[in-house]
Amino acid sequence: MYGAADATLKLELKTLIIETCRKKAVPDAVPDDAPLIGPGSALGLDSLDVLELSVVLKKRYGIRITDSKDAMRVMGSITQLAASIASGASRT
Amino acid sequence: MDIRIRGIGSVSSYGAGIEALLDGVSAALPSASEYWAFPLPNAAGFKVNQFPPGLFGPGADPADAAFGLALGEALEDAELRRADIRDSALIVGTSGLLSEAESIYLAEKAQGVAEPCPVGVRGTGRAASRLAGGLGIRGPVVTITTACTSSANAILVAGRMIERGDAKRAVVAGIETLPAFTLNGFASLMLRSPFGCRPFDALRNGVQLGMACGVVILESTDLPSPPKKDALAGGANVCDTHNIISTNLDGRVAAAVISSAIGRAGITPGDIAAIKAHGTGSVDNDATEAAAMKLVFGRDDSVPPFTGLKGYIGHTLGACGAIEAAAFLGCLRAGLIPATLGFGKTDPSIGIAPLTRPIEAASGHYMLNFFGFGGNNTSLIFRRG
Amino acid sequence: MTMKRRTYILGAAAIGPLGDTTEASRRTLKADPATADLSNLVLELTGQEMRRAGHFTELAIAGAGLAVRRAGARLDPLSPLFFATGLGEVHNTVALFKQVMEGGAGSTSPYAFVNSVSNTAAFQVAKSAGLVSPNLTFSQEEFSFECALRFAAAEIEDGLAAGALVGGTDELSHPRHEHIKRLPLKEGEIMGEGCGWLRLGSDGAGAIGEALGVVELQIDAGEEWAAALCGAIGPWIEEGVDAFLMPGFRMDGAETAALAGRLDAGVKDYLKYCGCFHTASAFGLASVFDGPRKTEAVYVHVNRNAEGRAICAGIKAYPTPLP
Repeated sequence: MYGAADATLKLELKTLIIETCRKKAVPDAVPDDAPLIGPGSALGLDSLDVLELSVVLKKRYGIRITDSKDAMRVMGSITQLAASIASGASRT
Repeated sequence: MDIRIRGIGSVSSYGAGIEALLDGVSAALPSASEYWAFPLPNAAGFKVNQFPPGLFGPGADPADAAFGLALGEALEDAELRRADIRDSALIVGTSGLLSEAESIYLAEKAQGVAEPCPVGVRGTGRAASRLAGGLGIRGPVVTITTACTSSANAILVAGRMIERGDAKRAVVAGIETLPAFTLNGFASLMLRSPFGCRPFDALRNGVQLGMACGVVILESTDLPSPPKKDALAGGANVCDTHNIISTNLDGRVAAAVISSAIGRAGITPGDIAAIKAHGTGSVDNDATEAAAMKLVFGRDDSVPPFTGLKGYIGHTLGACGAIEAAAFLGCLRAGLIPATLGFGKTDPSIGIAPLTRPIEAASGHYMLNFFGFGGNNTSLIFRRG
Repeated sequence: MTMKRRTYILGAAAIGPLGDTTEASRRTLKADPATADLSNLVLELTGQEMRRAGHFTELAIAGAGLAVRRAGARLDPLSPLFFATGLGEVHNTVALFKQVMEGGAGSTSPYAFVNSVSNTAAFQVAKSAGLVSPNLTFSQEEFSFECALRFAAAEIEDGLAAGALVGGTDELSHPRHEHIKRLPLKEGEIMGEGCGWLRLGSDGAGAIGEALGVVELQIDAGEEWAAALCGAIGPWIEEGVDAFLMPGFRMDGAETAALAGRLDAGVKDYLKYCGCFHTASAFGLASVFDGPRKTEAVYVHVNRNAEGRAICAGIKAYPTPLP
């Protein structure tokens, strides 16, 4: 059961990121464990995207990110982000 | 460039006047408090450097009132009357003055208007038009709006206008009233620090915002004047398109603007006696600024003594060019270059440290650096005779 | 006194509510227009989709890109950029402003905040044009573009820059009753938006015209007003060269007619194509170059503000080369 819920959350996150950042990508094609941030990464997100996503993720999942370094770490990969949400991360 | 600095005036979180500001600086007195202008849901714990309550009359527009006070002081300092600035240029630098729009919105709401008008103001230039109209100024009126470098660029534009004879004298005003809009914006960018401004410090983690109005009266050396010791000797502006919200950590473009300002002043890096750094206390700004200084001056130990003023008065965004110019000139007149309030521990990744105690200021060239949003970088060179 | 250099116009572009205009494609606006979709034009010019930029920034990038392309000659990356706007990115700012004022402050969108910052559009234009150079944003209500043009021409005249890019941009905001609090309009005046860009240079090779100058006067109404203005702009008007007056949206018909009479100039109404906005003069002056020109002509844009101040910007347009 956990595996199926995890897969659903991951797909949801991929869709959310693509829509929020207005990226041209197919959610299914985004790898779970590859970096998302920086040139050459899976989605090529930058620091401003990470900030925008922090606001959206807080609204949707209630996860509190108050530090930009923390935000970069939480959004390291889809797996990392899903784990942070599942554990109700609220590092401040 | 050789433009006389005729007078200075200031309104800051220390209240009205350069004297009040210098008192605060020499006592190393923090002047930040909880934001009082507008109730903000996420403002708890974040202090700002704001105008002391009661400084202006009830209902006064803070931009107009602060300008009135700072201009009055600058005229007195310049030994000029209002009639003497009729033919001057008025150059305002501000990040946007949305606080006026917020007051209008809240007033409409209080009156029970069903849908109060958002941003019901006639643009960023409105304040300058209104202030010029009130003063009967007949010279060119211009507003420069380049975020955190706005009024540093206003000084540069005024210098160019006087240099080419478009105006004999210019009143430059940097005005920042810190609307709730801006405070929230900085919060959303995670750039505000709950611990206050710590310029160049190893533990720095963000800016502390502030309100201010600084006025600098510049004029051609052709005009008669009582003896004045300070001059604008040069300056430069370069936009780094690396990143809209951050700086290019290698410091190359910041170094280029510093070098260009030195060139415009007709001096060499070795002539710089001291530097007023931008020093916002944000992680990237201070690292970039240090890298740029090292690039321009060659080695760590060739970087001239440098200091930051934002620990005292906060990051006053569009006003910081004019208010920090006025404050720094005030310090030079008092014979000292101030210590960097908020700095405690050298960041090993930066390797250089700002002044931790005041040093004596002699005659010579001084550099004032300003780095802003949208990659906008400005460096000014003042000469003190 | 050092010899001043001439400021040549090497390329120009005007974009109005109907998009990139040419003389043939202009249409008189009958009612408040909608905003034009510029995403394809921006994609074509820059090779990139503007993922986060709003319409205001797209307008600025598209106009600047067209002016640079039409100039043909390579734009030196050190060329300064002088940008003018009266209201800035107002449409997006209005939405964010409401959000902040109504207590949704914790969810301020970083994208929206960054777009609302006063010099974001000029940053994006510099980035898309490959510039690493001086970059200033001027905002002075209906005189914004003239302020930027005056400063740009000064840099070239004084030899501080060999080339420059100068433009003005403003966008529509809705609804009309709110918009007119930001831009007071008279009965019957149409809300507008658009931009105008000029690529300037000190080298006249391939030039399509010249910037003649900007004069700003504080003068009282009546006969004295027209006389003082004519005195200031008289030197721009040459014997045997056609002259046209372009009245800005603060001018009234009688004032314009009196001034045109004194100058022996025709009147060009460009506002009917773009509507009223703070930097409409940029559209007007740049649009002079979007059609064929048989003879040399001087165009003088004139406008005034609420403080009784007048500003004039003059350009000369060269005839288009014969095919």
